[in-house]
Amino acid sequence: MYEENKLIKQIVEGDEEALRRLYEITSRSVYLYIFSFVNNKELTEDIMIETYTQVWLSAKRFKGDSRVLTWIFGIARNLTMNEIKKRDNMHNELTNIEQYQAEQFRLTSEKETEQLIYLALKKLSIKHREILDLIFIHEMTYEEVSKILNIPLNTVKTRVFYAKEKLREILENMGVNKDAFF
Amino acid sequence: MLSSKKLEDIRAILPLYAKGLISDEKAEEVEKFIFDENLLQRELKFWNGVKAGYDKIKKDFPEPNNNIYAKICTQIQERKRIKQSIWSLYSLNPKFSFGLIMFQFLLIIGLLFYIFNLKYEYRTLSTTEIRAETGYTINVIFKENAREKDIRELIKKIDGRIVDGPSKTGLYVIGIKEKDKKELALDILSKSDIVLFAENAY
Repeated sequence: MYEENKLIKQIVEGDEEALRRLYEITSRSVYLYIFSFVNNKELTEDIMIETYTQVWLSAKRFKGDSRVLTWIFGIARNLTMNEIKKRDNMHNELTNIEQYQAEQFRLTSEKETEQLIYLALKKLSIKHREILDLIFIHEMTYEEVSKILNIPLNTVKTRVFYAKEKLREILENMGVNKDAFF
Repeated sequence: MLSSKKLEDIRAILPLYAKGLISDEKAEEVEKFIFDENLLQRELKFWNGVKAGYDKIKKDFPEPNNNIYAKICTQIQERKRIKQSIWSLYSLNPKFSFGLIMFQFLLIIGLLFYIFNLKYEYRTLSTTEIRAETGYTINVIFKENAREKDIRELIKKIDGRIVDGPSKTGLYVIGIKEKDKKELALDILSKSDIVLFAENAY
């Protein structure tokens, strides 16, 4: 964390090597974050390029009151949301993922549980999926999620609760036995 | 027995607990309560399932392309070039900069000159056209509360027109074309409620 803050200071002074180092440290997480929204490699790369260009151009605006990665996620999120609004078909892509018949998943081994939740997560709305992504992929705390999404801490908790309820609903609609994992 | 508030607090942090994102102290607290609470055990089971689902999702994510960083550098250089070319118009070309400064300076001076020289004029009832006087004239002073509409009607009634005025004292000179109408006009003006003074002009 200290290194990232130091890199930002060097970027402000125009150090391109510092940008390369910051990219090495953070790019994988940022890439996954963007990809989980857009589900398209080319578009993810375009947004990545713009995100790090913005990091370079606006490094002096980083206040240091959060992790650098949280700040970069904020930039990436804004750019991604703008892109989604432009394309406007992302929601359809996310909701039109494979349909599953009820009663299909009565027996659940550990492997199947993993698969079921994987499929159910893909059916969540962007709003709910995003918050779970930040916790389970990017290992963000609620405070960090609050900063990235620009919402109060209590709203983060509420949104996690509703994401969980929605996920349960999706799993039930998929015919998953309630006792399997809740 | 857990209080409902404590139960909700623990429930809220279970996703973080499942992912190992809380402090050891908090984790111990969660474990202590989970042991006795069936609801928390079920919830944790659910979140562990979510964690397993995400582990699978992570495996499926593609790797970023190796050339992204090179593209970032190219884009940054391009932005720098554009920025420099815009500033070069101002900073590198002295003639252009000087011209721009002079233009702005003259514009400001011009605007200030215009603003300070604006004349706020008041329109008063007066002659509408200038022509040589051929008829007879009457001096008239209207009362202060006389309305423009009433004055116009009165002048129309006597078939006259304003040929001069108002003077500083509010004196109008009304022209009458025909001599035989002059006395009648004078009579009408004298009796009017809006006229303070009416007399032959010599």
